[in-house]
Amino acid sequence: MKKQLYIGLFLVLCHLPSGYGQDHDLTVSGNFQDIPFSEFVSAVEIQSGVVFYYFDSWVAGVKITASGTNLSLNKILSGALLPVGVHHYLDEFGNVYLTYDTKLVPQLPDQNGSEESRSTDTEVSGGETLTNAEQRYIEGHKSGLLETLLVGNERLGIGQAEVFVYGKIIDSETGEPLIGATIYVENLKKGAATDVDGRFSILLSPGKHRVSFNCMGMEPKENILQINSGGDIVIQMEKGLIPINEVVVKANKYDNVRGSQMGFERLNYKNTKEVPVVLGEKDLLKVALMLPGVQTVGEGSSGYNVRGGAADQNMIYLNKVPVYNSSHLFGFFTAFSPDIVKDFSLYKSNLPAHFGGRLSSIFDISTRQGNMNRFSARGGISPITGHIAVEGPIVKEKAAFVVSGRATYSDWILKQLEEPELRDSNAAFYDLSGTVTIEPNEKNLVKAFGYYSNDAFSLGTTNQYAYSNAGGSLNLRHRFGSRVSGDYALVFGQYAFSTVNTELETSAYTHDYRIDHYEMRADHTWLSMGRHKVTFGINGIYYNLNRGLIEPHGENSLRYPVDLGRERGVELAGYIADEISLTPSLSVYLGLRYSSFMNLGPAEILTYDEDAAMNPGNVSDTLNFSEGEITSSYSGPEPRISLVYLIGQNNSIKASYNRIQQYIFMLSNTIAISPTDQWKLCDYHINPPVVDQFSLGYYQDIRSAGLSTSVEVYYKQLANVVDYKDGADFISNPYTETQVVQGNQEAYGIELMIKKNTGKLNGWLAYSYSRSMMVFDSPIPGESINNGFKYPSNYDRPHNLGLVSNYKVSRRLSFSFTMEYITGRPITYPISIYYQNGAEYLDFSDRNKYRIPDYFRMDLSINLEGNLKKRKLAHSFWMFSIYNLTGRNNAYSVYFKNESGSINGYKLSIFGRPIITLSWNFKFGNYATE
Amino acid sequence: MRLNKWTIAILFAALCSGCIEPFEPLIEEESEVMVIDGKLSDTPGIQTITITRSSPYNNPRFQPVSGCVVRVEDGLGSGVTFPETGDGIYENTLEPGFMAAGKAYKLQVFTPDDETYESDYDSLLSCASIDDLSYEVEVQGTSNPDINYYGVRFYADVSGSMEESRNYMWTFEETWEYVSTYPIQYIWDGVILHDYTPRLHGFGICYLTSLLENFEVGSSMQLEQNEFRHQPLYFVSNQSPRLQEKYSLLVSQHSLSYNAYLYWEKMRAQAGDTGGLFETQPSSSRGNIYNINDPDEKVLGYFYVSQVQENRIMVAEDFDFPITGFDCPLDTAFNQEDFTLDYPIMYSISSFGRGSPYAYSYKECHDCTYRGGVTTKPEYWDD
Repeated sequence: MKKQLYIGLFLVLCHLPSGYGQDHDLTVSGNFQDIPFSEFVSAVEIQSGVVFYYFDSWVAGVKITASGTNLSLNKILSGALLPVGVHHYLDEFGNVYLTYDTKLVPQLPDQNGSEESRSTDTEVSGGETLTNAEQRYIEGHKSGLLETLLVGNERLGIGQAEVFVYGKIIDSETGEPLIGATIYVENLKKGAATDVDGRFSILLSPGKHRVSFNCMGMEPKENILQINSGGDIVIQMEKGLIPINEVVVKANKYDNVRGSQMGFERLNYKNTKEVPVVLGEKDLLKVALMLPGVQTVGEGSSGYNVRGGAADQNMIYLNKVPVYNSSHLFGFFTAFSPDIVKDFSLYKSNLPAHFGGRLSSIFDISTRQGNMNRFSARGGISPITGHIAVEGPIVKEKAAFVVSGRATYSDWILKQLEEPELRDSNAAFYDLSGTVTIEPNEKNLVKAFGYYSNDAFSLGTTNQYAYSNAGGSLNLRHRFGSRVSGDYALVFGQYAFSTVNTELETSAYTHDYRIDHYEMRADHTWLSMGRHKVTFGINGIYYNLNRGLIEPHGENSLRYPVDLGRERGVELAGYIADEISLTPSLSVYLGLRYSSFMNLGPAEILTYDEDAAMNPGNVSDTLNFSEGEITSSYSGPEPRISLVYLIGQNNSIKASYNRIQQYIFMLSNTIAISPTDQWKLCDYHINPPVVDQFSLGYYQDIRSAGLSTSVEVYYKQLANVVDYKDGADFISNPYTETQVVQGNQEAYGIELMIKKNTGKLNGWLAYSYSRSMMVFDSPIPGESINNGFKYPSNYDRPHNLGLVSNYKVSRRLSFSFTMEYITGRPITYPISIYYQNGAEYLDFSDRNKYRIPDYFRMDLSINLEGNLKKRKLAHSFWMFSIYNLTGRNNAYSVYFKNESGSINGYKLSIFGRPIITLSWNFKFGNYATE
Repeated sequence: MRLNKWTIAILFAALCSGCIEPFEPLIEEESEVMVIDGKLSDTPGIQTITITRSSPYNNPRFQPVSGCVVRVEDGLGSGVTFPETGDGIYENTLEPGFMAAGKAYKLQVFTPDDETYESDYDSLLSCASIDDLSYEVEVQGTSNPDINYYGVRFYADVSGSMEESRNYMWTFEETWEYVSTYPIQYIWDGVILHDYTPRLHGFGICYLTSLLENFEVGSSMQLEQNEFRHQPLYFVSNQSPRLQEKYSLLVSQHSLSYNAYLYWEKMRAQAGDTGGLFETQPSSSRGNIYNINDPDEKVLGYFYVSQVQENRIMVAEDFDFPITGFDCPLDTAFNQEDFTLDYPIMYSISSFGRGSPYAYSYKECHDCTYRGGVTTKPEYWDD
């Protein structure tokens, strides 16, 4: 008998708060190899401050063997003591009672409770009329007894009202951080979500809290958090083997209803895995197009339009590296391998203050960090490409790498063609990437990332195109003290294309274009003791563009060489934002970003007569700027404000306003983006486009049905939008202002979405109604478009209905079905016919007055997973997909041709029949391996 | 920048058949606007100005505007009036010396409803000569990957001086030789079977000349010299019998001012260059003619002046590719009751060389002039 067992037991019986069974546990660490029970007790008492009560005779000869961290004390004790007939009981105060032959059932009918129970009444479970014993009886032998996790040191926490808890949520198997996992404290209505490094921070009062952890694809987890003082904690989550959540938008409770973010969507790798795709190539961006508010001008075209904005108003950041051309093969594929993508966030409105520079959207993509525990590989083949990614630890649990590669072997398609010119053509693309992540300790994280993609395409003997994206980033995250964390990055991005055009011998030319993007950024988060979460930082971008030389090609070319010139610019921005919880149900986000841009010399700038069109005939003067001199500068504040009001547990209203300026735009005279479109900086004549966006949304979760719903409305007003004049030619002279005009744009819409995240059938249904109208009006002749009248933009497609669904027949077999309906894009049709020189010609309607036929498509895929054995070398995944199930000839464009004197209309479809593909993917490990 | 339509063809021809199909858009609005089409040259002969209204897309027709007073001024005070010679057609033969390189001209139109239309001045620039014409066999793909068209593409080589115009339009007149497929022995007029004399094997050889609607434009403004090397012109395919015997193309090269070039370049693009994966936005082509009372009124058409140089090329070659011939199915008859065509032309297939039974086909298969050609050999036709 070590202590006064019976007294202790009595105390326990008196003090037990209501609702407590053997719910408590402690985690212990160490390496216990066959040691006597008493030694184990001493070690645990020292380590965690618990006190054991027992008779030595009961445990004579019991030996303990256990090793590791976060070991469950209950498990160790049960494993060692039950065989000898000894039961144990761990109470909430850290006392361990052992009983021989009789299990301690430490409850009494709860009538008064104790003082203790009233003050820390954090986990009253449902069914107040039931006693705790009854409750347990009904629930049976539930395995999910809540484990208590300890944070901090009791002595340090004395007298503090609230403390910071820093957590990291990781995958128990690979050690990889989980992004977008959430922690939610039910009684305080407080939550937090993990960042790209799996980290979260939350301000909580010391004491006990019942918390839940959720993450897509992982088993939900509930724990008691015993907070003694501020401190760190690591949460491990297990893979969710139950077949749920495979094709769902990241839509946990915290995001949809409570998050301050609106106009925000999140997808991860699993979202894309089973969605039917064309040509068997899974593609995150193509899945993103099924989300409300995201559209393209046509199937297989580069670029996308978000909430009625032009394609150059979006930026994709791949681990902070800007990807200036996100397409392979003119838009049929996305320019980075699906193997490396981990998580993907799309901001459509309410852009956080740390982002800027693009008016419509930011696609923030983070890549896999690599398995910190063991080597692994994955890959696959489809009819067009083969791809592989290899990853593994460099230093176990401290550093990992991922390398990936993908390449086409698509040329075989061309070789099937009979047309000799086409048979001589070829098309190829590839992309490579590498990541190294080093996590020396809990305060620091270093990531290095490199990326390269390349496309080459030649058309017969007359045209050649090649383009590439290259980039790299070095990222350091560091936590200062207990409240401030910093994120520092050095980024380089480059986009280059080159083209050889020999259509006409005498004017054959080559053109090489390049944009270099150098960026430095520092972002900080500061958590106050109050209810503030402050973020602040700065970033600077140096642009170096070589717009290239148009050079004669071939000995017969007589073309003048034209130097489109070099361009340099600096974009600087600083921001500060505060997320304030005013009351548990009302929080606001107040952010201010101040951005500025300077276009730098050397430059030769033409000025034009006032009130005259900017064309070579009206030049009034030439200004010369020397190296580094500022030719023009622009700056302005960009407020970012939002508000979230919770109505009960499951409803919220959010509103936001934002302003954004953009200092770089794309020169394009085509409806879809082409690889020879040049990026261009704002300059002496061309002012930066700016947007003001207002949005309002209502969000509701219907938990019993596993549904989350949202309605958002938005209104956007854009100024200084750039468009090209009729017949613009961007390679004939370096003076861009002579080829473009600037005007205004207005976009508005409503987006509805229902998501089902659980069950055998899951997915989402989204509808949006949106408009996007342009006005280019100028008193100067030739500077207006459509005579200055308002007209729909090329991507104004009002009705858009999308369905993504997945039905799990079993863990191995599932069916996915997607459907998309979208209004046909606007088009300018001929309205009358006239004759000149005896031939028929067309006169056209007002710009974009008509629409091509509506787009409708259904796809189906059957997904078969390999066997579910836990221990095996590799797992494979087959996907049989039918794209465009009905074979509908969706119009990509409608055009008119003058054929032997009469005018005929034609409709062009890209995928005019069902496209059936079979693709195979593999990975090392079993079904659940991430 | 535009990419060729073949981009799509390359990627998806193998996967997708029938990606391009005829399409009739539903167009509700009707628009009838003034169209003034005027082109003058310093070549002696009749010069024509046409005034019409455009017709709705669904109901295309020629809608002349009559009763206008049409006048051309040379900017130096002289002017010439063009009287109406047919509905909407205004013609005159200009005196030598009125049209001269270096001068600029303006068109004025006074309509019966008291509107006045005026063009901008357009300058007459001197035209370089065509040094050489050549042709090459070319293969053209179609939207059906299994079908290719063969044919010949004509090319021009032009070297002009820096004083001559740098912008040109090329127009074409073709002449081709073809033969009657079958001989003529008898002609049935519905009542009597006439003997055809003199008896010939076929009606012989015909020559058909027509002005083509296709045109090409080019500019050397972006080039260091005023030269066009291997400038692609007209394409003649094997889908007609044109290349079977002998073919001749007369190329007219018209000097253009830069503005006229830009206009015609746009019109040419409209005629055949739309609809690829990277298509551009079409729009109305405003010309250089305005209503002086209402400058915002949409007026279509263009007034321009040019100097013309011509050159001709002959093609007489046995090509490797198949050439589509005339469709001339043969029928036979023993007497007039058996004729399945009205008033057929026929020949005897009797072993005696005359009389029943007869063989016959369409008229134009016996008599080539029915196809529009003439039997007189053009003087430039070499043997």
